[in-house]
Amino acid sequence: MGHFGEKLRRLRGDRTQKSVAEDLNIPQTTLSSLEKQEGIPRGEILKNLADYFSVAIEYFYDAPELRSSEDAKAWLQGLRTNFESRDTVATHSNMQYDSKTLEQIAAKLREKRDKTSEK
Amino acid sequence: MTRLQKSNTDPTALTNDEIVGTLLIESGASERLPTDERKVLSFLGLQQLSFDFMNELDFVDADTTPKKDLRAALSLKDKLVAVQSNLGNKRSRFSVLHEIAHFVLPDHRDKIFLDNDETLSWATKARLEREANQLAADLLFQGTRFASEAIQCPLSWQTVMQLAPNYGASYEAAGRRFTETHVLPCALLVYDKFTKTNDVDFEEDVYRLQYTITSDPFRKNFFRNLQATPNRFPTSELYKPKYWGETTEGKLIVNADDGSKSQFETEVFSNGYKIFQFVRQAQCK
Repeated sequence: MGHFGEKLRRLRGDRTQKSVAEDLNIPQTTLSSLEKQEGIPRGEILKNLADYFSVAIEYFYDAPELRSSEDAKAWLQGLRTNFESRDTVATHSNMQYDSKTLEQIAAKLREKRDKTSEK
Repeated sequence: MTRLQKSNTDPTALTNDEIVGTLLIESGASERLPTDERKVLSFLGLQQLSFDFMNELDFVDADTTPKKDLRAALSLKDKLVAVQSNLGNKRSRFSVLHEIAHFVLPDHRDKIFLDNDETLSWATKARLEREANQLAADLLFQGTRFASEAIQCPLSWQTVMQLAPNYGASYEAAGRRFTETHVLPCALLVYDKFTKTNDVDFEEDVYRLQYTITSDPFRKNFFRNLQATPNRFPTSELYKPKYWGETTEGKLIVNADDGSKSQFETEVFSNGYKIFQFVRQAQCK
């Protein structure tokens, strides 16, 4: 969990609490408290702080961790089954190849795969 | 016994975050860095094949259809991902992840492998490539993991150089990710080599501004893109290191249409092929 106050303190940098508090039109004691606060404040103050320091609001929140979902799992596991597909390839290239060339590339790859597995 | 589970969900309703998170976690690739593309391939039942597109595609006329640009290919029918045999680890990993993206994105399967309309328009092809690159980057940088780590570090090109090897990413890919996901205002200007003079006097090589990446707060406060006039720079105008590979610091002044000027701090680095100019507000370190 990120500490809100530490993130806020980092944004202030070399500027004094007094000057930042004046710019934000809040008492210096409020800014001092915010810089010691672990949780994220509610309401307008958060938006004002983000605007003042030119950061996205998300700066103050922890990024969501990776998560697995049952629907995505079902979809991805389903991809393991064989599909009817055109005999073609998707390419990682800036070029665009015609459908005949793509079909020939698919055949070449299959041929090499078969030769490799024979060895 | 089938391993398929019944789902009433339309796969096109799945978000990229869901697909990336599930793929990384269920394949075990989220357990360490860099992302092990072989684990993801294995989880999906795909086989990797090393292939020399330059020399093994003898039927393709190199004069009319350049092959040197081909880095990887995916055959859905054979469940094969072929990668150019002489690619370095970083480019090879990204190319495999790019093909995996085509494999798992529902719309891509339909458009590339199932539709009867066999020829994709340039616009569709460009969209599919952009989406595959995006998902590949999400897999490489493990969702928000890179961004979360980066935010704990200084807003500096040094952070990019420090984190890139951990993620098995090029400086360019890491620099793009760092900038586009950062919560502080920053931008990355990338210059590519326009003309090469000779092998000795690299200072005389000419570069041009290839593209600009900006963070959301940078766009909000400043601008989205930069244009350079004229759009040609000798190396010495952009990058004057004491030794090759050094990151140099400087200033960048940007003129707005209304006549106003903005000044930024910059860090400039070159990998020998491109020049990277990282831009941030003063005192953002």
